[in-house]
Amino acid sequence: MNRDVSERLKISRGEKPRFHDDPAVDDLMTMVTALSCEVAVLRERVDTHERLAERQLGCAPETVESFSPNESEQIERAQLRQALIDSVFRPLVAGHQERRQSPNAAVVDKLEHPPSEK
Amino acid sequence: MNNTHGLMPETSHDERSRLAFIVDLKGLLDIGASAANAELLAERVMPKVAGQDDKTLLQRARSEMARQVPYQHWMTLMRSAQEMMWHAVGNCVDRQYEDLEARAEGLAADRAVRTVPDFTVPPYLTAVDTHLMPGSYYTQRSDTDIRQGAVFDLAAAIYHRGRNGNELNDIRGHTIVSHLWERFPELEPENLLELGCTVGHSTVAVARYFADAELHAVDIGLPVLRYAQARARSLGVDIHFAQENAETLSYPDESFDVVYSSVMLHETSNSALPNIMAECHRVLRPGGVVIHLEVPVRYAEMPLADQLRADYETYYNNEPFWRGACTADLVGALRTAGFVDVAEGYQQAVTAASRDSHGFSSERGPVYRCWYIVSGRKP
Repeated sequence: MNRDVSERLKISRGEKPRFHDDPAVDDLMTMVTALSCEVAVLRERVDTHERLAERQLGCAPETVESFSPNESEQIERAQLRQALIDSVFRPLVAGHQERRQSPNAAVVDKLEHPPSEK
Repeated sequence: MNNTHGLMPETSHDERSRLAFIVDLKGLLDIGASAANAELLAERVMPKVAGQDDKTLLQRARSEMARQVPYQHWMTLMRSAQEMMWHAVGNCVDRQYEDLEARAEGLAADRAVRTVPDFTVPPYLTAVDTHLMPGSYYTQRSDTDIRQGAVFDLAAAIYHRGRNGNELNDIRGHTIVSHLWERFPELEPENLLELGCTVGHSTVAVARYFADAELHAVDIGLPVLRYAQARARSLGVDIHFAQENAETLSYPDESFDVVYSSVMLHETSNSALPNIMAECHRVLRPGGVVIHLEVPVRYAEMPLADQLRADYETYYNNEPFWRGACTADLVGALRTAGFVDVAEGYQQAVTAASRDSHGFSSERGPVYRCWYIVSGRKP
């Protein structure tokens, strides 16, 4: 397959936007996201191993491959995955609210210099 | 009825985990983060941009939002999640490609996908790769290549998170027939044409309602059409697939009773729209019907936060005509082309069309629960 077509099928045509002021941050976030994905994949494979072990079925690759979770197992695995996502990407959802809070310096000041009694 | 077909790529244990993560991340970005984005808009952006010229409000809000760090995070993750999806699906298809092509060959029809000599993919599809899918609908490595069809099909199966009919992805097709029976119940079509069929998600659904009719389906991409043909064969449905440009169809005048499209218009342009509408009119018989289904996103009816969300698709998800289509006067475009009884609204999404449907109204519901439709009749 010629290199042009091969590249064509890997990288989408169109501007690659830069979102953060420092483009390195875009790349770092992309890497963290991809890494989290692989952690989730590993975690799910471990979950499969544990379920197979519970059933004393061994965890040879073919056995892992053919494991098909039932509905309640799917729900449990989805909850695990969601917890991982919520934990890794917490700043996305909570960041703005967290930054809304009053500065600590004001608290420190108040405790060190209590208002005089009237 | 099975909810899958004979050509769907297989997924390994880890591939399923990977795709499930991507789907859940997209869920967080779409739903979980939308409240945070709305708060950001209200608290940090509106105080700076409100109260001035309404015409430029969206543009100014977009610029000011883009300066907010949490929103920069959101945009980066949206982009990453979409790129990861295509990457993961592409790898999955590539590792089993020979097998897939062999399966498609076994399902090949007696007739090949019809092509037109010296066909040129229109510029609105070559400018950028639609929704970041590397290679888009048309890149092929050989004249038997179906890779882009397989990639699109597998991605669509997971992207919609089951809300368009799981692996068959056909709820929009059922919804189109539901609309046809509701607005034009007397029509008994003998020939139908779908514009922009990609891999035939809606086409197969429509075909099953009109088993005695002849259904033609066109697209600009050969690899997706070849895949569509094999996929339809695996589902036991006979459809005539062809590579055509909806702006200049090769069909003679008055060839069809129904011409329709499913989420195709937003992948064209403002210069293409009048040509497409004119072609719909030309190839329809008198009394024939045109139906264009689109995403239920109409800027004029949406709050600023939703407009901003739609602008993300336009600028950063390689859907450059998303806003254009969602602000176009499609009723006017059909009337200009000569259609009468033109109406637009929202059709309730259904998994099976029925003759006594009352699902068309001006009330917009959430995406996937309804679809925008504009339709009309050739006098």
